[in-house]
Amino acid sequence: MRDGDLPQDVWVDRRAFLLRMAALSAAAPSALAFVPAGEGYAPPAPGAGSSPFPEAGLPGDSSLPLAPGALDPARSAFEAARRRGLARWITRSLPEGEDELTVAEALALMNQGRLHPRALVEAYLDRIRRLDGVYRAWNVVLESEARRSAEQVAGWSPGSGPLHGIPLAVKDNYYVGGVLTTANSHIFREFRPSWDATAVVRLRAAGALVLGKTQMGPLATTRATTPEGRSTTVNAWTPGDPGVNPGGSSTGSATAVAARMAASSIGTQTGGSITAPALAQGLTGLKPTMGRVSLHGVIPLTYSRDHPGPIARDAMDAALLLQVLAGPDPADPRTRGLPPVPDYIRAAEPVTRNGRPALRWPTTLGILPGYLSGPPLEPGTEPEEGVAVQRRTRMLEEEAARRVMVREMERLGVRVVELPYPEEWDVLTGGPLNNVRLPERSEPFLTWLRTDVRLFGSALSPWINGLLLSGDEYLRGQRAKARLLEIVLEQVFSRCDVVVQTSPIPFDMIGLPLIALPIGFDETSGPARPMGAMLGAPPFGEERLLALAAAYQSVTDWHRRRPPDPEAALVASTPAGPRPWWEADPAEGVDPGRREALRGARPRRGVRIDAAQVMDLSQ
Amino acid sequence: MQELSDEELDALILTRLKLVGVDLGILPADDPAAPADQRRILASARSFLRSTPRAIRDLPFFHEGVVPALYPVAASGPPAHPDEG
Repeated sequence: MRDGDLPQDVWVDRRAFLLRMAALSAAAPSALAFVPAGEGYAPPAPGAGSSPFPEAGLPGDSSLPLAPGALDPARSAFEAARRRGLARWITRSLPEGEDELTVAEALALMNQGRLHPRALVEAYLDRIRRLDGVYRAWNVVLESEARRSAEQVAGWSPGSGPLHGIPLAVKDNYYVGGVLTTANSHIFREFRPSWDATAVVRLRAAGALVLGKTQMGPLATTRATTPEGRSTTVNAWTPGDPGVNPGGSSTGSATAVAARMAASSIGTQTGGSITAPALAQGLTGLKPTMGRVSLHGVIPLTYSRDHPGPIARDAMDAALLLQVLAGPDPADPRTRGLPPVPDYIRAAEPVTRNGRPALRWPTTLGILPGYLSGPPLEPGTEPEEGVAVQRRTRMLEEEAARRVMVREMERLGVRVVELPYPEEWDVLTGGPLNNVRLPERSEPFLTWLRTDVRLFGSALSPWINGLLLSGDEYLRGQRAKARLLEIVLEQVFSRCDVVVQTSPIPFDMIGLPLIALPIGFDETSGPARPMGAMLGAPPFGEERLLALAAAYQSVTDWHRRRPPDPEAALVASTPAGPRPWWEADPAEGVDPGRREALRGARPRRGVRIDAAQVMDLSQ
Repeated sequence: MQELSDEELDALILTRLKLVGVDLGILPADDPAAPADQRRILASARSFLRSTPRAIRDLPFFHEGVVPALYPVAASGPPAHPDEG
């Protein structure tokens, strides 16, 4: 194998990444110096302050056009794939409806002149109109713009972008010029940025269509809820049971894709917000290495931990999106000076040897203790009841699915090694160290904490706690994170290329990439619910993760399963969609005697913030 | 060291918040139906203060009582005879 054929994680300088992460943490408070000047907040539209649905149409000019050649790696990778033959991406009998096509399949069909983007747009709009009253995945649907754009992009041509005519769902914390960007929070209730986030600029430049903005946990915290904490978006697999966790905080993005209301989507992850909804809804979510994708124009949660990335139907779709999203951005210092963007599309193309599915690169998978068989019941333990039995049963189902997944990977040629937990793992990844992130939440939002703490709704506590950590504790915590990264590189990735993870927190803390993918279904009670696996890699190991996921998905079909539509009676009894969070009545489900008091206590909407304050937030 | 009482911690929390201009008084005192109330916010903050600073203080790799002759204070401790100045 030639050196040039090796994935990036093999040759990248891990020590340099360690130093980068340490510097990033230390630099967090001064990162504002890197943010370019410029207006970030459009002047309020006349009357907007009193309307829950301010009219769209404010200036949408992007103040940060892409640098010349910024999309060249994506175009080159896509053109190389086109020369290899996009038809190879269609690996199954094509489904009847356009809404069932993966991004790769749609691109292949468009390349053959067999599909027009408007057919895709209409298919998704039809489902949103009929079903999103139940799913509640969307805050804003850009129906007219999507239709207009689909007509404008026309058919395929040699210069077409890598995401030509692909309708995407965008989490509601990405700036989209002229479009409400609320982050499901009262703070941003009427926020219409005048420019697109860099990620959105790149997607649009690649030919993608922004179908709309998706619901999320308030300020990217929990599953999607109203600011007061009432659930909105449901799991696409259990639309009749809002109690089933759909995963968060990129909930709407995941539900939109799982329910076939968008071809693919982007989310953000600070503490599992891409991988969790992907796992809960049978999708493939990729959290890239810190800095691989620009965060400029994303409402911040934690400067040193926020990661944008795709939530897609399968590994190839995730690769197609990442290929476009990845790259340096003058407006985000985290993206500068990294290794060049590799060919993710090629990494995700399945490989065969001697006619059999195979690995693209020799790969060793590390298994941590308890992953395949959790702690046994203590002798003499009494049988559990109710919820405890269900939980235990699901755990056993998950362990069984994991064992089958590992066997499938071994059949593909993966070498499996058992690893001990790294030194001091529990201490360095536990709750108290995880709390070190909280001052990074509080600092950019101090103005709003001082204005009215009720603006934070039910998510307030961590913002308050972030004000209570002392400077020396914050610094020591940052240094502990650097030590954790060093330990993981020394003790885990010296022995394997990919490692299983059961929690996203450790790799979110230290900026390493994660992929989540479906590995089975739990059918022990109620409707079938997806089960998934989460795999982590060393810095810039996205190619490795995509290649392994693609190989696994070439011999399994979990990622192809489609949730059944909501029952007709449920659809009929629900207002038509979309139903954004602000349509909910704050007193819904509350004792009638308390409703008026609750409505009266509602914080004022849409606090006005000026350009300087927005730059504070845009760290 | 003796555990701080709820009252002592509440005084610390409220004083700290007052110093930075954050007022919890706008929240209801105790209302389980409200998105947030003072009782829950203070309980969360007390729990945070009882766990997080201690866990950070007790982290391995960072030795108590060594002379901070190097920056950052090295996991292996300072040299035996650090140069002055």
